Amino acid sequence: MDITDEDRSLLLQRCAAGDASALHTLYDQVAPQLFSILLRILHRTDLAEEALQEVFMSVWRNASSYRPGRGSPMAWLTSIARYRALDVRRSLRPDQFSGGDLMEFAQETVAADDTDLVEKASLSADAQRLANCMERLTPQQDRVIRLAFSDGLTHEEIAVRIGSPVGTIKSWARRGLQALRQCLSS
Amino acid sequence: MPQLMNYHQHAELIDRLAAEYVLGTLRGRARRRFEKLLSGSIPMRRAVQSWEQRLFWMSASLKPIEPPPRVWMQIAARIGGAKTAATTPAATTSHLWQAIAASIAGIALTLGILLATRQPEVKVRVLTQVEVQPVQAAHTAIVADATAPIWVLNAYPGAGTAAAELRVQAVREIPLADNKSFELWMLPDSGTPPVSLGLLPRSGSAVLPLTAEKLRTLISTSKVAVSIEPAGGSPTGAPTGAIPYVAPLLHIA
Repeated sequence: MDITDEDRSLLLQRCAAGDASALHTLYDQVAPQLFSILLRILHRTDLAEEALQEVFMSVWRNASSYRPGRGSPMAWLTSIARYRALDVRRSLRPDQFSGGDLMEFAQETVAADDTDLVEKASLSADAQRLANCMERLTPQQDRVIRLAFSDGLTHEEIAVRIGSPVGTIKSWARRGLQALRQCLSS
Repeated sequence: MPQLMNYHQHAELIDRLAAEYVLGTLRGRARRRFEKLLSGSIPMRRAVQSWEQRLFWMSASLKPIEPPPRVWMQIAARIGGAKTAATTPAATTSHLWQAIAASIAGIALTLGILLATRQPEVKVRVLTQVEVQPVQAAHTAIVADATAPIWVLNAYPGAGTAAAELRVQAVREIPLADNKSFELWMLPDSGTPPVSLGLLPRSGSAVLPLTAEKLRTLISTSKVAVSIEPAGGSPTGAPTGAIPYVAPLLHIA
């Protein structure tokens, strides 16, 4: 059962008014998507579960700061989850990503097969628009932006992964973002 | 002194920083500084929101993964369990707790035997007390993660000159930073705020005293929770950190 942005927006308004049942409904609807985002960045189930808990506590406390006119509820929720995951990731030592390299390898393999991605055709019009604009980037720009956004990697980590200098990675990211903005606002 | 930028350059810089902030490549001190400025700048917030709106679709193509049910239970415990009860069909909830309670009773039995055989000194101590006066744990809980028990809790109501106490046995050690402690809380059925029962030992056992008031609350509590707090316990008297574990408290008549 799909709920609309309008439904999610209403649920957030009820959360802001202290209605815990609205938070529960919202959780049932969006937690699997946010959990997937967190797992992808954090690799470890325990960290992703703890982060998901913190994300929903943050949604509960800050629901009143969501403004429907300034973006979709999913963009707002996704951002809370991603920023949380980036904070957690930064606070960990590299060795706390147990088996991280293997996991990264496995995830990349999976991503290359697109088996962890839903069919492009089933995406909304806005998502397809982004996908079309991503296709117009150079392969390097596309890869850097995906590794940063979806996997939460830093410029330095991407440089190691791809085997190119950090300066090059930075310029691919910058030019890719510029091209995306132009493509999406055209 | 840096050269003053014109409005156009300024707007471009804001947009570039916002894009990198949302992408996640703006890191460390630069990210902190940007976040500080963000709260006071409407143009910066707008730029960030635009980028969030542009890019979040990238994660819309990730397949959803169902989180385990304990995550919602922990959130519900933190925002006050009573208020959320209405949203879950009553039957489902009570079945769930019955299932958990039943499996925990089984684990408790096995574990009780294990502890008794592995650690004779515990058995001896209990036996000595039994000789003086019959003391029986009246309330018990097993705090566990998805794989195995972590702490076994037994509350003794006290009798005669023996004060009420909660005995805690750490079954295995969970890694935690040195500047953090695990704190145990009662989640009263009345929906009133959690009440601290004290700090949990990382290993070995501990005896936590139970005041008459805490014992009264304990009797009408069917869930306990463990939170991660600064070393020495919550500075506020309420849970301040994540709640990694929630466990049912069983009352043995």
